[in-house]
Amino acid sequence: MSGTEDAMSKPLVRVEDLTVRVIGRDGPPILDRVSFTVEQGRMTALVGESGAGKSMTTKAVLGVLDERIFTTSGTIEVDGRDVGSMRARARRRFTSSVAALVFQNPTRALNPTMRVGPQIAEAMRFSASGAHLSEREARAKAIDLMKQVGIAAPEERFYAFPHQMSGGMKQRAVIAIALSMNPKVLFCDEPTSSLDVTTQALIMDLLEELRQRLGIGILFITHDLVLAASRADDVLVLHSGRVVERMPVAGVFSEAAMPYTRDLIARVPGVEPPADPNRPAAQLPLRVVDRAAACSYVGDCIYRQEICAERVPPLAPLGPDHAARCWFPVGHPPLAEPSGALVTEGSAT
Amino acid sequence: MSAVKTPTLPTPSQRSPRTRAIPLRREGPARMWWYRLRRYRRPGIIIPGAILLLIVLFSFLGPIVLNSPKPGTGDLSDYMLPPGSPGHLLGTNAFGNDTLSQLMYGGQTTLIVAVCATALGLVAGTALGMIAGYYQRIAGPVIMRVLDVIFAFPDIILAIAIAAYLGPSMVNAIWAIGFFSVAGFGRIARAQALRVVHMDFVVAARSSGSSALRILVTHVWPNIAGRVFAYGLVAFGYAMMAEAALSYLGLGVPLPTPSWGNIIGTNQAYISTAPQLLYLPALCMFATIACANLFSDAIQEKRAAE
Amino acid sequence: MTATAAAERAKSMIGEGPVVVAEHVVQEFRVARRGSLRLATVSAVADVSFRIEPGKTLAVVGETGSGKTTLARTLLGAPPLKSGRLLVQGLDVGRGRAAARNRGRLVQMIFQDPSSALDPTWSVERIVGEPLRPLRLGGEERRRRIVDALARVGLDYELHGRRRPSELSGGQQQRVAIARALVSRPALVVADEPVTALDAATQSQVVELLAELQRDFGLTYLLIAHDLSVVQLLADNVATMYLGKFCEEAPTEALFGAPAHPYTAALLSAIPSFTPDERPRIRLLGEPPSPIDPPSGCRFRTRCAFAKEVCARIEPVKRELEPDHYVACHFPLDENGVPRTDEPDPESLGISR
Repeated sequence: MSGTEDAMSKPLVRVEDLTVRVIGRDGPPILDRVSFTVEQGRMTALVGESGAGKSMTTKAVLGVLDERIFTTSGTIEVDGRDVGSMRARARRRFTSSVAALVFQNPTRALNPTMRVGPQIAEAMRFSASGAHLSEREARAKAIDLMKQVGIAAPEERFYAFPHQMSGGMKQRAVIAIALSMNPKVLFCDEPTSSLDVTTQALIMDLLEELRQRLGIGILFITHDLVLAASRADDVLVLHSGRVVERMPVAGVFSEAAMPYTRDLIARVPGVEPPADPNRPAAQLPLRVVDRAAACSYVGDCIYRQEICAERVPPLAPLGPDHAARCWFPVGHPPLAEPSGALVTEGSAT
Repeated sequence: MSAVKTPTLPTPSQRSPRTRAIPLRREGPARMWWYRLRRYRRPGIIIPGAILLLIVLFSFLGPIVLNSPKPGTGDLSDYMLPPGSPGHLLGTNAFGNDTLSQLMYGGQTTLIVAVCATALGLVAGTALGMIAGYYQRIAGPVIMRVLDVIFAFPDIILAIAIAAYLGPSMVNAIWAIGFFSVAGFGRIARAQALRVVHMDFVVAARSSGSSALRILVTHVWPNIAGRVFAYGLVAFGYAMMAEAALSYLGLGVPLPTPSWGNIIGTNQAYISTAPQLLYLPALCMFATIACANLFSDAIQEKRAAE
Repeated sequence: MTATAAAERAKSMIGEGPVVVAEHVVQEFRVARRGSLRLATVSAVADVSFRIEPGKTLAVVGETGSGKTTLARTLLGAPPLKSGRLLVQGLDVGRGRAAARNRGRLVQMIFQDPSSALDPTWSVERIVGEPLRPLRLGGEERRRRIVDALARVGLDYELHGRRRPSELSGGQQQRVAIARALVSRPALVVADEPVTALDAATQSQVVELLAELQRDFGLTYLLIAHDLSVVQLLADNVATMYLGKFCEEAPTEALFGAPAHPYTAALLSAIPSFTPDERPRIRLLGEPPSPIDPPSGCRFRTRCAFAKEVCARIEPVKRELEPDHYVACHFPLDENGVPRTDEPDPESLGISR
């Protein structure tokens, strides 16, 4: 690969084998060897139900986990720099200059006693990695940002309080704050869950436009697989702290191989789940002796076999850009016998 | 690739059983109460509670157990005996009354006054507060303004004024102290009632045809009772201090009936010669009020932790 | 009453006329506003009319600020409507003492949040039995009905009757709320977002339960929802609501398949889908206006991509586009999502402002 290709294809965020444990607690880790990348101008969606570890991932990457409670291991690279080995203050300074956060509840993300405009300008003026603009410069830039995120009448809205704005407008303001630091990557944690569906569509349109215009990469965390499938480029499905499937979004509906992903699809109302090819029948109740050494979905999976309760399936590649963590991926040759003998020895972990 | 036999795929009825909640055992009502009581077994609750209980037992059962002399039956010849004198464990006062017996009977009086005054305030204040919370358009503001007037007075001054008007007696002290307690309960009850009145189950009850009285009694009160009683313990402490202040000024419980407050009041002159006459009743009051407050705090912590 | 007997009764009522008749229902609130001493009027529900036939479900769909929750509560009398007519089984449930008495017998509600819909200090049995009070049943009959209601929703009286709501899961709490809504055999059940507060797996269970109960007992539902997937499963007819007015009302398939009102179309096209290219994307412009000062003429015009000058002058009146398919719009869309060109002149149809 030539140098220029390298520069262009270097991911904005590269996480490899990220593992987070609670200190002093045995059993399966909170995050288990999670790996993903966020590329320039692309949206990577992290999909999982509550408790799967989505928010934990963001916090681990940004380095805001309390070190007295959690230990983190694995490689975390942001914009090419290894942040895992940085010291806390330097790390915060670096990541805040490169990444920005958008949270679920815009009401809580904004200071209710402060007008919205100054909140947008604040980071530009005062933050450690900010440009230290003057008040007038910052105001002009903030109004420009408000225009970019689609807030109507920004000169007047600059002086509005958060409670005078609708939910969608508040979320736009939050995105404006995020953009004020010229980030290369946005971490969005369920940014539209508290919004109406029409407002959600508008915010997703805005994110799409930012991606195309500014080349920002987006890590989009959500519990809504359909939302991810309709807007993102790649999707990672998280279950109990493990990545159980990774694939480009185009084939999610028809080619999802991991039973959990297929269950998520089946739950979407009004959607006919894709046809099920022949599968081994499930054994009735399995006792899981060691949860850390079993597939995380074994409690609910309709296809589980003995081996699923005894060994964690590897995240095996099933096609270009498609990997699934299952011994019997749907639509693909099985990786093991139901009783436990591995079909292909030495699969990637 | 070895050949894996693929039998027919599972039908929906063969889906794995989801984890079911552990089936609830059928428990009798008595056992359910015991379980609920057991949750209060925290040291922060047990210790102050036990001390309070001891104080109550001391005051009410002590005279019977120790066969103490009734108040006012002291022999003047036993004037100002020091603690440790035979037959008088804690000595006597200027009238020859046994100090220990004074403390016990005094405790009875003070506790009764404080409890009755607090109860009075609780009943009247909670009723007014609940009504103010339910009828928010007219009755509510009117009631709250009346309570505000009561609040505006420093509590003790108000009690003093009332007691001075009515004349010193145990019953009058209860009225006076109870009166100013109403405002505090009224505020708490209204604030809590406001919280409850907006809940959907009240809307449901109203639409099912329940009258306002029924809703207040069966829905609002049970949901605010906890916090009202928690405040009640604190108000109890205030009531005790108010009683002490009144009695100290001679406007509370009149002699010869002892109360912790009037023991302090009548023995001021002996502060250097027989200080135990002053600090012992003060200590009793401190212990009671402190334990009441700690108990109340601990209960609220326990509820918050759940 | 056994299930089949109730279904028979419901079926026999078909043809007797609608269970619910709402005509020109208006609900307003006075609120204080910053920078003004006078109270402003929030027009939460403005001239809404609809009918529901026995055993059917009408779903009212709208977003925040549409007034759908206010409409539901108005049906429940909390507070009663400001003007208009509301009849259930021919009896007035609008304003006044008699209406309140009728309401207690005829209308019940399932609330969105089970944790605030059930009194935490009451036992399940007592909660479910509360609507029976105005009926003045004997102790034996009352208990029988409670046991029956709990059984219908999949709960056991012996196991759960004496429990408090905090000892039940969210799904179970909602079942208790449903049992409470059914126990007095109301003519109308208003369900205000009954599954929004539940997790995904429980949602489908509760939706199935509601559908089953409707089939078995011939219940009539007014369903309030913002989640169209729930609507698809339960509703016979759907009405979309915007800023206090009905935009469109049609049978479920017709509304989803060929929406005629631009707001409905925008709503449907905003739903994420695995195959996003199927529906033309209709964007909403601008921000939601305030219900204190709604736009003149058509309330939706400030966000409508197809608004014309006449839409600001004349408010569109509800008319029947096709059998049972009503729209309040001057330029309703055709099957391709484009405003029709063969529409009559709005001047002759609408209300001038």
